[in-house]
Amino acid sequence: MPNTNTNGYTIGFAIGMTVLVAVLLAGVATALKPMQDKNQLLDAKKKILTTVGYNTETMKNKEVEATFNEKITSTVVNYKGEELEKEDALKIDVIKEAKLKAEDRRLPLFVYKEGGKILYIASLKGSGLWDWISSYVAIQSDFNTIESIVFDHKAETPGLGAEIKERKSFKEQFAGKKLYDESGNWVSITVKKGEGNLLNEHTVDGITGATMTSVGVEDMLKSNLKLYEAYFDKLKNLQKEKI
Amino acid sequence: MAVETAPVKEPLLSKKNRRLLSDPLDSNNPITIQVLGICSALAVTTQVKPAFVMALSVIFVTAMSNLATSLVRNYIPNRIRMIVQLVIIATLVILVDQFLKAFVYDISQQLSVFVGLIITNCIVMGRLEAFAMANRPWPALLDGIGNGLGYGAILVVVAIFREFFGSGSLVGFKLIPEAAYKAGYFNNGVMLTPAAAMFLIGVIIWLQRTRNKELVDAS
Repeated sequence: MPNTNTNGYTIGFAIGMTVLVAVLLAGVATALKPMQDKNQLLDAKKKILTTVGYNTETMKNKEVEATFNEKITSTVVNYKGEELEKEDALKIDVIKEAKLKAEDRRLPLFVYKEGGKILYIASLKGSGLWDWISSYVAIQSDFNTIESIVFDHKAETPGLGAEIKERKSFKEQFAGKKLYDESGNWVSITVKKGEGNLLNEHTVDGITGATMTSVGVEDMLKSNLKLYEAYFDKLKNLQKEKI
Repeated sequence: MAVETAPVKEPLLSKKNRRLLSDPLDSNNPITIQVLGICSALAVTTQVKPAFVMALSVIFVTAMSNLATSLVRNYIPNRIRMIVQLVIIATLVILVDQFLKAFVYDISQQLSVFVGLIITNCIVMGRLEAFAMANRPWPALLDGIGNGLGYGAILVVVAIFREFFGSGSLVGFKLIPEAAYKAGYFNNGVMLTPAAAMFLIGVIIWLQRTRNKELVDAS
């Protein structure tokens, strides 16, 4: 057995270990990436279907795919309201897009049509306490009322910030809330701190002990959902023309 | 560094080996006696479910990294041994996370927030240094499992108190009826703060040492 305490052995071991670990991790990550991407895509589809009312936990993967393909169409827009022809909404990583200036971002939008009902689902990114948070928010065809919302996060604290994803009662508060006030101003949703708040159609209760995450949720909706305004206005005008 | 004992053929689950599993549950508990792993014990015990998931993860990581370290213990240069230990732990956790993301995506979602907490958990590194570096693979594996179980036990106990008194529920199920809230009962907000976890662990330490006088440090 070589003398493990010589400089030569120490350096050699360190180099050898680094190379071995690097190759191992890179190799595993590369080999598994296709499966992981597939899972991530399926997860996104599940989230979108959840916001329009499906109980994806009881659905098989094939069913999720089929339902998604059948009921959901998508488009990508920018903050000017223009549709970006060559983009695929599912391929857009909102986390990466958020690094660009608001004017440069590609905004994925999913549209659900069932019977006479149309829902528009935006994909948003925000900042939590530790890292990013994200959400899919389904909006009714008045472009004002929230139908439903789901959240995700990278590293919020389990039991506190992470509750935005887990706690049904938090998410359910958003249903029916309105983004514009009576005069047509953008007020978005305010997440209130403390207990016993009087809530109205623009406010929800935050999560106790998760102030920063709750603030992140509020900011995410206020700043990032607003980017879709131009496109929504365009659709509103089209609706009026049809009448 | 602990001195390596002369190799003796021990049956797989001899009394000595069984003690590796049972000691960390009480008399050598990583949290209450060795005082390791406190940070995550404060962070993830607001509810029982994440505490349980964390406990399972730590059991796995501690056991596997104990095993891996023990297998290469004679080849690690002394001066960089802590770095090597950290690399072993981090690599293991990342590999697990990658495999979970590929094969059981839902569970990996639950676990990804814990990944950082596990790598920096003092218990894992503590056991590598105190035990795996000087013992053979099988005892090292058992030691890892035992310490993971001891950690998990404390975590779940603290979480039960914090979730029940702080949120009125257990494992997500609301246990305190609406009527009680209307009558004036309210959830204890302090229970949701890490300070409460610290107090609870202090109480557990006190109860443990009252029960077993031998554990009291002679100061």
